[in-house]
Amino acid sequence: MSDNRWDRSRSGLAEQLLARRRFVFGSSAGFAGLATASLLAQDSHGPLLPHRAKHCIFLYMYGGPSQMDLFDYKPELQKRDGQAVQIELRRREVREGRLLGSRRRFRQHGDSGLWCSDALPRLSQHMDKLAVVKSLWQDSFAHGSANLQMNCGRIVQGYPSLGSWLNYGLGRENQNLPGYVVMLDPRGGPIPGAPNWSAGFMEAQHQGTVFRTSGQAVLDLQPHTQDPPELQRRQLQTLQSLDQTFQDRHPESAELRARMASYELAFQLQASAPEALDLSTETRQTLEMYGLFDSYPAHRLAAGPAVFGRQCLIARRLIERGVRFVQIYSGGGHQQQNWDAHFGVEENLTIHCPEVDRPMAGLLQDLEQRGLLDETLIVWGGEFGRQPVSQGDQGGRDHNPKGFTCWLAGGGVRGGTSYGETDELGAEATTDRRHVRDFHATILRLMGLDHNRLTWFYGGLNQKLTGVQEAHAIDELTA
Amino acid sequence: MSVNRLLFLFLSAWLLSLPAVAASAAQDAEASPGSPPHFTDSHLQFFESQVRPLLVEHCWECHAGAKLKGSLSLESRAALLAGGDSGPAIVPGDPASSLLIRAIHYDGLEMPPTQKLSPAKIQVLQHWVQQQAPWPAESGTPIVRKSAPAVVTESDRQHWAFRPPLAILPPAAAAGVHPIDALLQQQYAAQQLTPLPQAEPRVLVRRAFLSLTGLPPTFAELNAWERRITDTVPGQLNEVGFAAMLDDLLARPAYAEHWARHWLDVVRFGQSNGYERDGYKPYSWRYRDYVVQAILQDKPWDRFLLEQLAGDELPDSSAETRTATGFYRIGVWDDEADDRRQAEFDDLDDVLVTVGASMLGLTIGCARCHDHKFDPLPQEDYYRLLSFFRGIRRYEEPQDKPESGTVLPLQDADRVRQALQPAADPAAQPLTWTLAVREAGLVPAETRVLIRGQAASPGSVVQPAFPQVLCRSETSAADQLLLTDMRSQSPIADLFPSSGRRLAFARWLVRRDHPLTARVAVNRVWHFHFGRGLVGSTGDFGRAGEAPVHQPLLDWLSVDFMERGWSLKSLQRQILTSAAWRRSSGTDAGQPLQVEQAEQRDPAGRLLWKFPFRRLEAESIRDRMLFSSGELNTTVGGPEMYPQLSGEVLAGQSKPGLGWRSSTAAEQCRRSLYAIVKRGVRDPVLEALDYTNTASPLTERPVTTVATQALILLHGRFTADRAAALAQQALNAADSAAQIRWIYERVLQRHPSAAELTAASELMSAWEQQLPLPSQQVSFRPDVPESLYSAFRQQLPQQAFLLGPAEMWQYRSGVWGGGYEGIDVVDKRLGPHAFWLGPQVTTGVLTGQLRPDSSVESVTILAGAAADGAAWSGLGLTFDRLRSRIQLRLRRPGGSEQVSGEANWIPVDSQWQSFRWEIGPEIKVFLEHNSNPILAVPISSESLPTGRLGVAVWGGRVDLRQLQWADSGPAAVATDILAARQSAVEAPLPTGWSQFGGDWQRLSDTSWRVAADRGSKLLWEQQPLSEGEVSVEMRMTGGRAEIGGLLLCVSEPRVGADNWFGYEVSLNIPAKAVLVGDHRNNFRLLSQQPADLGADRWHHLKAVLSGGRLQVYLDHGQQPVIDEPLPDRLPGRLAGLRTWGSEIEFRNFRLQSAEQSEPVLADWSGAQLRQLPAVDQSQQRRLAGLAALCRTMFSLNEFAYLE
Repeated sequence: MSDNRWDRSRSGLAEQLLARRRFVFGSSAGFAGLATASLLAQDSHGPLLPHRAKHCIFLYMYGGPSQMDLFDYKPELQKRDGQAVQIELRRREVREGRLLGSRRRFRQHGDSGLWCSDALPRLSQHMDKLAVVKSLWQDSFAHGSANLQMNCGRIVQGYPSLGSWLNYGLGRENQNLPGYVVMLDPRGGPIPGAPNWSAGFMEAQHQGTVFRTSGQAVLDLQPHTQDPPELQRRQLQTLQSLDQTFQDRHPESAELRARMASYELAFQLQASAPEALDLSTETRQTLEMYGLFDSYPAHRLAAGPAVFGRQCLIARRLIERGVRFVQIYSGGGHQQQNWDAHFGVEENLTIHCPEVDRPMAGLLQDLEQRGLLDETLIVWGGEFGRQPVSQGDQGGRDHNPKGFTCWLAGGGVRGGTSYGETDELGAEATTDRRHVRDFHATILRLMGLDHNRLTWFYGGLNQKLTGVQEAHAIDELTA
Repeated sequence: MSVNRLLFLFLSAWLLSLPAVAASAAQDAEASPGSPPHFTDSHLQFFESQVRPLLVEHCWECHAGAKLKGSLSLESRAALLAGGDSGPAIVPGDPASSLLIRAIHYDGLEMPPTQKLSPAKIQVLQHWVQQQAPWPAESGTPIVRKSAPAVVTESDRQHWAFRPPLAILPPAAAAGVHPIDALLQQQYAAQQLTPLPQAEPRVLVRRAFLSLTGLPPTFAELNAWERRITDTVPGQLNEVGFAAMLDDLLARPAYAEHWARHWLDVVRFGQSNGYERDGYKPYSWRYRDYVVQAILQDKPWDRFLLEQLAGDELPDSSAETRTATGFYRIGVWDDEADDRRQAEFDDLDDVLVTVGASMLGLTIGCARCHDHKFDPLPQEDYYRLLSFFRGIRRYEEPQDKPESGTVLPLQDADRVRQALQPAADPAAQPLTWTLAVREAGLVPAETRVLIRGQAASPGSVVQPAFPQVLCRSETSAADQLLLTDMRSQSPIADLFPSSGRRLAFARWLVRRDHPLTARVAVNRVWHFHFGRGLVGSTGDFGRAGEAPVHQPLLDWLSVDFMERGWSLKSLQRQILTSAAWRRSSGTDAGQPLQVEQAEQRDPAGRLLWKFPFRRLEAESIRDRMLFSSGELNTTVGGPEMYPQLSGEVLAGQSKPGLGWRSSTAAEQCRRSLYAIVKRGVRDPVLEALDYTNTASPLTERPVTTVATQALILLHGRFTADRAAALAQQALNAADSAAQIRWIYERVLQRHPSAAELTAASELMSAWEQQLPLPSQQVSFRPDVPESLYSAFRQQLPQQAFLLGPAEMWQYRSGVWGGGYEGIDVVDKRLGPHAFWLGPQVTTGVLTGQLRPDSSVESVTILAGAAADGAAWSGLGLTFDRLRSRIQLRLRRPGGSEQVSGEANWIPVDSQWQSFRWEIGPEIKVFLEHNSNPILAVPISSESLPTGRLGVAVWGGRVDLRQLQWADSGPAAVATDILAARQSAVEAPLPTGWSQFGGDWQRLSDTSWRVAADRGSKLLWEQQPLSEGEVSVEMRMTGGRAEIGGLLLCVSEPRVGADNWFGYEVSLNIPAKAVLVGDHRNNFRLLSQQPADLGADRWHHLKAVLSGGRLQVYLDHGQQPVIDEPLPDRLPGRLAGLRTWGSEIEFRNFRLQSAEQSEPVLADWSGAQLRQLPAVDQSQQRRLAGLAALCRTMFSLNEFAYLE
């Protein structure tokens, strides 16, 4: 290589990085919206691509839902039920396992004829809206790292999550609400916890805000001291006036002004967050659509559809109010408390499918009726899928990152699409194999962002959600 | 998986290039018939990009390494040719005759057995055999690259940061100008900038305190130092006084604590492993303390780095230097790595990246997969550097024994040798351990370049070497010297062997002429003083980093730093005595025009014409609140504390509370440095203020401003508690003006202006007039999620479950169960509740108003209630919001519950609801002053329970007011429950006792009862005991009888079943046995002997400690039931009581120490009554106003910023 190998690179990309870094540091105390406006104007970042989706709701099936029991129909697996096969159950650990055919009945639905099992009877009526990807794979057999990869693109901690990238790239529409809201299952959060909605090396303003659907909506939304609103208003006024001495000494500082303004925003949030969560203005019909009155299931670990249904309905209310990215976790805690069906896939489906079926169908229907589906991207999936062989003596299924199913619906998505195939047993993606990073690139693309140009300089590198490896949006999924 | 990725990437390229490759392979094969063919670059590239990944993914599981199915190895060309049980695997050039190719076609053999390869992959292997099966020459020969290897040239070495710093001072310095200012002056002139004048002495004192110690001065300190540093000449400082102030500050532990935190950021310090289980790292706090002590002692910086990198290999290796190598152990660790081989290199990469960011100022990690894109760091350099660290054993759970791969002993060499000798004296004190680096032996595994960074694609072998760009001709001899004869020089090198490579690397790093080490250190110190380094990218001095804004200054400082023996304190003095550091940060001090011009030329103040003011770090803001409230606990060092987490934060964990602990209030008031740095869970107060990133080195903390941060600061419990403590002390001042002034002194170390005084007192009056007092209105709100990790729940004090008024109420956790995967779930109908400590009630009328917020699920008012285990017994009136029902419940002790009446109830959110509850022969409930009861239930008078009034709530917050109780009967007088205060209430514990979990109730002066609980302890600290006897009479309640009894030799007690050291002597009722065990943060059964035991029977249990034995006597027997030698006697001296799942009544707890003739009977006489101050409504109002003011002031910019 020539002597000036590194000199050339310096004069090219490195200079752009420098310009960019200066910008990032310079803006760190500003508001997200402002930062993004100027960012988007920068050449290095590029303009928005044409797109329809403005908001995204990610329905996260924590634990890894079983593809071969829901969407990925495998007649061969059914036929060979009980047969012994050699199969990779952990990285480079190939063992013998007995094939476990699905106990579910599959049927094709709608004009598209997409397959869906009877585990999700209500969702199956909306198959023509979905683009189902059956050939995803990712890098880890373990929940912790797989969750991180599905959320942040990497199996290691410390990287910004999808919602952070979207908010960084698109900015916020509503300054009175966070741009990135996460709702957890009351049974607990996903492992490894908050890093799943972290902003990684980005600034804290891009991280997910956890909204609770019971108790206080946002941490410390109400004062610990329970002051009534009129006194809080009073307190803010005093804060501004006591701050004057200091402000006068530094009149030029936008940072100081921004900080005081954030207290005003916090005050607004006290009204706007509960308002978004308040379902009392919704009609009985709407509440029913989301399954809020459905009966409570008998299983001791089941939560029933009301919890997830309420969260889905709140998600619709949040995106109506300009929240960019809402992620709802179905399943929390461990094992059968989420989709992690080691101890019986049938039992697991019995617990969790009724929790999400009607709420998901309700969400699609409600968004469509309100004309919002076209501008809202719905993402469904978990951190991986499951194995075609049986685990334990209760008909469980182990983790499987080598082939699993996710689906998209809504803004810019080509409904009624089935993309990619796993092998005849559903174990490994074979046709049109796509890594999660391609899935991420697709989501960004649908939201109008080019994953190669949405970058953040950190650690000597222009970081991307899709990482250093090449990634490609799955064009077949877009309308 | 990596291989799949590669395959995918190269697939399209391959389809295009294949014919050409095949053609050239054929040519080469012809060129040298017979002998192994010579392969061209394109062959080998084809092999590396497509064939090897495929073999790795599909074949190596069974045909590589130790496991060779069919005796066939596919790891080298020679092995393939040699073949296995079925004969040679390939015939180069003849796919059709090659067994391998036939097998993948499932022709005869079926390989891989799980699933046939895709046609594309089969084609790849077929073509490969066709081409004579190209394979790189075996080990030692460089793997061919996509492009020619990078050559580092002299011109690459010309980058400013790769040349040694030169100290050149301008003439002004000789004339007495501070060298920093002399150097800066040149720049001001060039940029036509007029620097601002010196800040006022008061500002400088506060600035010095905050930047050196992270804490402000007290008001008195500020005044005293202001006088000392003020000079008679205006605009000048008294340098003697100023130097004295710096000496004072630099000698404080607070200085070391503050600057240690800066270092911990760049070395990605964490105390848990991250990832799925986020397990705790034992002794990680020792590394943190090492850093604090090193900075306090002003350990020379070169030595500081040397110890962290190779403290175990130094000739004077000691406890301290071994602890320093915790540096390697505080990063993330995936205990369930998906790909173990890859994870090994991920761990080493973490070390290299950290060394790069913290010490070298290079983004080394970029060269892991390919040559660095911007810096002259070829990929080989990365692996040469990596080979210095190749011997490090992977992290594993540390264990206190020599074989553990992550610990080293703390004792000196002789003691270690003694203890580890085969015939070690069993009575000798055992070794103590620290988290440390360990190598597997003298010779590390060979290091190979990994193609594209993939462990599965090893390339050529490399040897340890320093980055080429930093090797200059004039230093090469010295470099070589370091690399020859690398060995550990530790006096215990024979017991803990290592390669000595890290020592060589460390010695190279701290060489006096190293171009980066001193610069990086000095620049970082500058960064923390001016908010930005002279090189803005403090972890990247390469070409993608920023150029220094003033290189001569950086260079001079670096050389000066080394000349002063790498002394950090000298560097601090050097910087703080410059005019640059002392400038004003505000525009008030300058002439407006100049300032405006300067602002235009250099708005960020990078050229230091003003002092750049900046927000304090998260830790300083939190610590400053504690400092202001007078609660700051300044204990230095030791194990970490756990800040209080609210239910909302806990809810985010998959097992809420896992890995968290309950620390005492005093512990929680320690400096933020001592808060556990847990990768998966953060204290939201710190996190909201841009706390450290623990996943990778954090070289500069961002400053963000978001609304959620304002919420936490203004509304959070931490702020409220500090404000309440501060307000309480402010009451001592005479009047409101004096109180405000005093608060200003405490919080901002100044007096308020007239305008501020007015604003503050107006705020206070608003509160005093409008805020309902606790005697008028109270609120209850659960502060735990509905799921809690069992072990954490058991540590939580009862009052942590429900937030509510502080006095006159006793809090209880309620019933939790389930235990699925160690997670307990609350029983919402018997959840957290509170009993009123006023008189007990049986019949009468309770009236009041309640207001549930929109998230409340149910509220229960209790009457005639008592504790029944963790549940309550008595009468409950439940307002069930979720089901829109109101229920009357009667719970009998022991658990039977009946719903005596039920009615529909339509709640109206956030509205007051009046109720009237008549308890008598007929129980009636009236709502909203209706004359018709909503419920009316007859009840026999003997069924009416007697007990306390109480409240339970789940889901959200309920407010209560106008609560009145009127006894039935002619002389009934209504009691205002919220306003009523007995002159005294029963204290939970008398002095001398300490409680670690559980519900302990006094029955008489010498007897008490503990509710069934897992592992709660009660210790009597009045009477330490090392030799002697302890006895107690105890009775376990039937139905709740499991295990419980005496504790001895207790030390380090904490809440939690296993969180302590000591012996347990217990009755095991289900097993009908007496047991002895020891707890060393883990229970170990030493002996269990059958005995005649029973529930509901009084047993006498006696333990005698004497001459290294523990004897246990039961029911006054003559012979001990257990007689157990204690060879490794625990050092603690406290005795006490414990329950494991049992409800136990204890009486006559006696201790007789060997030194005393008379036994001592432990008593609870002190537990009688605690005096409550009389209620003073005007004082309550004032307190509320003062607290509101304090909360407001904690949010001020002046509070959060350093100017």
